[in-house]
Amino acid sequence: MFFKRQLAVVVMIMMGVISLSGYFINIQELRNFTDKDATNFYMIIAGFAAFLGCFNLLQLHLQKITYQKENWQYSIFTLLGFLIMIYFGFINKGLESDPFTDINNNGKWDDAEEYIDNNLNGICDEGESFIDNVYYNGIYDIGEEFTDTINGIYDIGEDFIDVAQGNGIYDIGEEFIDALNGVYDIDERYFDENLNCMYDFGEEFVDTLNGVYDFGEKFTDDLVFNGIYDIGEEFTDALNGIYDVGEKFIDVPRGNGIYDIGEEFTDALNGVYDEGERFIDVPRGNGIYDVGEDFIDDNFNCIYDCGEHFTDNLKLNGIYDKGEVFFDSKNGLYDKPEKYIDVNDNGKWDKAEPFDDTYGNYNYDCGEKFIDKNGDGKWNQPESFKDLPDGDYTFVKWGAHLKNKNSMFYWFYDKFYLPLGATMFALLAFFVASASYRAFRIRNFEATLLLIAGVLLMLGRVPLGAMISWWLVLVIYISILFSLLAHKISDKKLFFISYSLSIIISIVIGMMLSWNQSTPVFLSIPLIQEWIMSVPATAGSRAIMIGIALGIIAQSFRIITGRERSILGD
Amino acid sequence: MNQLKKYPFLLFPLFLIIIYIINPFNLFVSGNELSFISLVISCIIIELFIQKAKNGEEIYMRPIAAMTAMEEAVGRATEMGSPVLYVPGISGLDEIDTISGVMILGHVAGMTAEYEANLHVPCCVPIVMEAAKESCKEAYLKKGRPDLYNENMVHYVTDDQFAYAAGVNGIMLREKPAAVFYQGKFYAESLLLAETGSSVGALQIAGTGSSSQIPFFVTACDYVLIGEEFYAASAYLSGSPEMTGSIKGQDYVKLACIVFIGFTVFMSILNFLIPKFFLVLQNLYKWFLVTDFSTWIPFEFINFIFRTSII
Repeated sequence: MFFKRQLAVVVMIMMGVISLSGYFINIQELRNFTDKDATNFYMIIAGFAAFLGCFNLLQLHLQKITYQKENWQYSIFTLLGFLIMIYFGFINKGLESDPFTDINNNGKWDDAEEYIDNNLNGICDEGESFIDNVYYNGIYDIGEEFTDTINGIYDIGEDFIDVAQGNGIYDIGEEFIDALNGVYDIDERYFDENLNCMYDFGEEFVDTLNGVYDFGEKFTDDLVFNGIYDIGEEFTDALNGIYDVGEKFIDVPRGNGIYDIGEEFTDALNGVYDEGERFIDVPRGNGIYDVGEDFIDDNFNCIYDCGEHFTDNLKLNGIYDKGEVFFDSKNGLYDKPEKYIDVNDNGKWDKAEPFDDTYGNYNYDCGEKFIDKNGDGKWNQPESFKDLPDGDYTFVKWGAHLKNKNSMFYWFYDKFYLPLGATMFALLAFFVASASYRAFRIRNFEATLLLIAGVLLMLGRVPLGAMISWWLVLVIYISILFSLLAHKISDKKLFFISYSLSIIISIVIGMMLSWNQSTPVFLSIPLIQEWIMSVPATAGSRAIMIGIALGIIAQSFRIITGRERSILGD
Repeated sequence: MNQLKKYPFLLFPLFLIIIYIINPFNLFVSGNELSFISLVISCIIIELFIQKAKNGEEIYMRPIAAMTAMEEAVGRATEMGSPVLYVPGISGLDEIDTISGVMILGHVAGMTAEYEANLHVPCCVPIVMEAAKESCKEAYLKKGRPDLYNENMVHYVTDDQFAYAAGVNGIMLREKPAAVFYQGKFYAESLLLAETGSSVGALQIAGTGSSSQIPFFVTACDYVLIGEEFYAASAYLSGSPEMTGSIKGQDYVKLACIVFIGFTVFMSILNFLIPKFFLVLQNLYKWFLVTDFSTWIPFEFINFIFRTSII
């Protein structure tokens, strides 16, 4: 009982006070707790509660079927759906095929990508279109669908008038014709398939004054006088609105079709990459050191120590470049706390178990200290695996198929879940119509007011509303007025005459006041609609919102002070 | 002074405000002063009326149609032999609306226990399901009818908004409940649910803090708890003096808001009619902005009043 009552109340009060304090007290830890940790706790609890929900669902429907309770047939459907999704979500990945090396981690075997070899050099060059049937990598690859916009900056291929230097190439400031050029240009929107939230080629970037010459910046052509910028020439570093080399960005695999330092390759036995040797084009450009990149071996252990910091001062490209200074951990071995490159994305370091290389030969020698990970008392070699081109053990991530468009799970999501959800949402349109009908039925003064406001709003929001002339709106007003007065005028003849006269006189007055040239606000339906939305509707909703806010304060106060305990069943 | 002697707790918030103004060691977040002072004042007023109610002062609660209709709805369901359907919304317990919904559920469950009506609570969020189960179990126990409580009366449907709406609509069409309660946080599914409930002829009582959904409920339901009524429902139904006192306090805070809005409107009109007089005030305000006083926290209020009503 103590846990159910007193402790629950104490926790409730305590959390309430802490949450409130997080908003007013200037202690970072407290704010972190209320903004992040407390929310995460809730999410974890809610996550576990999801199991309870599933068990409850199963239990309820199994009972219904077992005892054949009323409408038990529906439960068969529910259970069937539940079991199908369990099967395709947890058991069947829908990707059965021969073993293959999943280079791009997309869960399926991909054939070589086709490309159009424009310059006939036998390799796919940037700009050459190809069918992206390999990567599906969520970044824009040349040739993928894109929205080609007139972006206001000069794009390669657009016509220009070469007036500034007369050098035959486009210089900033020269007039150009901004056109749909059919190729992807920086700033154009793209379809981020993997939603990776990282800068990919073409994604938005922060344009900064980076102190190096960027393409398009003004310069003094004093060295070679060739009309183009040469290293060493002065330049004006400007925010030019396009991405320049050296500007900050989050680098991602380029897949550019040519060999880049650091990319792994199949060695033709001379130990270095030779042209023509096969290689796997997986440049990571990921801002951290990748195996194979040159580095300064401060501790002379011949290997780059992961996690060592380096000063990105040469190319400002976010990755370690030869010559850049870095700080060595000087331990000669990979330590767990050090950062490592999770090549196969499995969340752990995969090479041999760490050991203390006493003899400095980079091999484990008997007697050297080691961390016995599996507790068998001896140092174990790395587990053997089929050496994939990336040199690391790779496995398909658990649950990766849930986002794979070719999996059965995704198929069910795409073909059943989405259309059914959309159907339910679409039903709303019909329900709105029937609810409006009920609301607009003239039962009392409020309903009449609602009807009038509703009609004006509907008319004001469609093009037809703007076409209705002032005199027609005037007639509508007079008609509404007379419909309200109708029950007070018993003589129909008098009613009709006064109604007709009112309309005629009003129209004549309107014409005399030139309302057909400058229509007053109250006779323009779109303006009336705007006024209704911005004045009475806003006033009403604000009144409700103030009430809601006060209600929330009072309710929270009752809960925090432990007075309201009915949530705990008290 | 008499009030202070009678209710010495009023000094504590005053002390808090002074500490906030002094802000020793930069302890408080700057920029939230207005929220803090308004919140403290609101809490003082609510607490004052709670204490008054506890001390036996009579507090009048105007009857709210939707709340009185709750018992009527349960009675109707009993007479018709149909179940009562209670929909606690689609949000989790991190929403105050859902918490209020579960609180009201406790009272409704008490009524169904008393009237021996069937209660059906389909839930969208598992954690809400557990809270609702606990609330119902306790209500049945309190009414001395634990035998009527059934574990399956509160059950999970699904986490998805429209799948949940479809599930609840299915329940309505199959079981034809005589009374349907919508109490919690609702989004676009509100009209789908309310229209289906209306089509099966159920007496519907809705309550939500989602201001955009209130019009839908107003059109499709018989009774609606609008705005703060929804949050006050649990306190209203409990009938304890502490709770009713808090509602009265809340009403006084609302009155203060109305007075402030009225003052602002009045000042704005005066500003329009006598601009010269207000030029003096404007200059005073400008002077105030450049002085050190403007950094003094209580002037945040003056600043706010100037900005809203004069400038």
